[in-house]
Amino acid sequence: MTDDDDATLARMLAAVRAAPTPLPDATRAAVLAQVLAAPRSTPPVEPAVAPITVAARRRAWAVGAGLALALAAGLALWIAARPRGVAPDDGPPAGRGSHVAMAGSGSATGSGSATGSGSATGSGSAPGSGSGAPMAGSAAGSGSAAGDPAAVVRQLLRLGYLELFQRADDRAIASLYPRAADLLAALVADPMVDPHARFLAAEILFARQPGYPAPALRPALAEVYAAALGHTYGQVSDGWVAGNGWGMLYELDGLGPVGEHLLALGPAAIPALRPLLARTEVVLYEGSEEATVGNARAYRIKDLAAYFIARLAGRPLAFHPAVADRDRAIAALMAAVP
Amino acid sequence: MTLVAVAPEPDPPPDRDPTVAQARAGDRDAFARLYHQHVDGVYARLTRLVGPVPERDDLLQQTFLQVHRGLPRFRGDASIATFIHRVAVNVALDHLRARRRRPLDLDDAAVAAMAATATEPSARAASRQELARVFALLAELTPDQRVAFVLIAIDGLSAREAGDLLGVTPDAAKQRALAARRELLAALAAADRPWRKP
Repeated sequence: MTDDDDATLARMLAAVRAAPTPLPDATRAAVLAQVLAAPRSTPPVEPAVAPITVAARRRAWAVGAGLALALAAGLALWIAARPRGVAPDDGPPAGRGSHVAMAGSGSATGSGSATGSGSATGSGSAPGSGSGAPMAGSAAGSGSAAGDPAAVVRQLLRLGYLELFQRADDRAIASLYPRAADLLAALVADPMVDPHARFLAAEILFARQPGYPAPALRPALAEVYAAALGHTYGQVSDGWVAGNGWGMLYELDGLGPVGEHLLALGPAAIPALRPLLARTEVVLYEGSEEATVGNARAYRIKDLAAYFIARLAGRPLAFHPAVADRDRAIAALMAAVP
Repeated sequence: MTLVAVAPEPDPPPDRDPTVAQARAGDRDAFARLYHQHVDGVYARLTRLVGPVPERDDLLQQTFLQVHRGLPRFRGDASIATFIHRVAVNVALDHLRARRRRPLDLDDAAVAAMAATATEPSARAASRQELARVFALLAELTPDQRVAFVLIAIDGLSAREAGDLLGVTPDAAKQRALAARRELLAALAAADRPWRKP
């Protein structure tokens, strides 16, 4: 390396800097027309005021009733968990009976009632004991959700992968991390929590915590990432990740960030991926070039799962345009993978 | 190395820019005005980031599609120009990552258009060759290094501005650009003195 090289580089960069980049008028007009013709697919930040229908009233009543029940159950838990002697009346035995039933339905409700982790699992178990729908569908969660696990779950699901990771800024992530970092970790580890929320929480932690995840967490994460891979056939607007996140696979050799995270889990992830080898839905790629290439290949979920199994097992697996050839290659792979 | 600042013109804050507010609210004419204000700058930036490749038009469209969809969430913490250029940088990065390890495919007509300022035919030919060489060298860099280097060393952004567009710290942006510069100088040295290659 010499001063001449330095001067050459400076001259070359100056040439690029000075070079005009004229945009043809036809392109200028065509791009604008295409953009304006495309729908704004993402919903507005604040939900529009909709007419209150009978169905909406019923849903609202059901959600309200669910919340009231959850509050009552929480109160019963709190009363039952109080140390003896503090409360003058421990309540009837029936109350404790319901406490035991709740603890059984929530896998780790009793794991730490005073910690953030304990409260996370507690709220995660609440929809499990009733229905998961209120947690996924409620629009109540927003903004300051850092200390409330149910609100964090709602916020994750409301944002989805698109808002969290594919926008030009990281404000969506910043609204959750680092403020709710411990809560996100607790959600990922809790099998009672919606796998979609667990996946999004894991992606945030992968993005923000060097060295994540700890080896002990990998089997649980494998289930989460297998669930995400199993949801890669719908629109990105459903909040899961498109094929692009897994990558332009096989010989295209363009692993996406989510695909990298799955591989980081190591061979322990293979058992979680096996059930996906029965899934034939076609994976959706979005965007422009990647969509053209990815969708033209018509990868099925099983093709992606097989690709990752092959990578994790250190086995070769070639892509074949014909589905029958792909299936034969996958069968041969799985015969060789213990 | 001389750096020339070609950062986008600062915009008025969005609360005082009725065009941004109208575009956010779904006004197509307002969006068209925003588009025309920024499209040349975005096209130029994309060209420098990914090179004069045939996919530039697609990347331009992808950028403004994302801007169009993302405007309702634009809260004005940064200028609208920064918002749009962040999208463009991310689109360029995605493209470069997807294209990595594939042969460089420059659009000859686009390279010729970039070299059009030279008056003499021989100078234009030399300029075309030089531009093609630069983009071939840049194509050897990792996408992260390449984009940071172009933003800082060619577009003249500060490390803080580049980091802001890339979503990384200023130090990370600077380190990437410095690493890219080392790679480029090594490539030039190797090309000039091939007998010294290992």
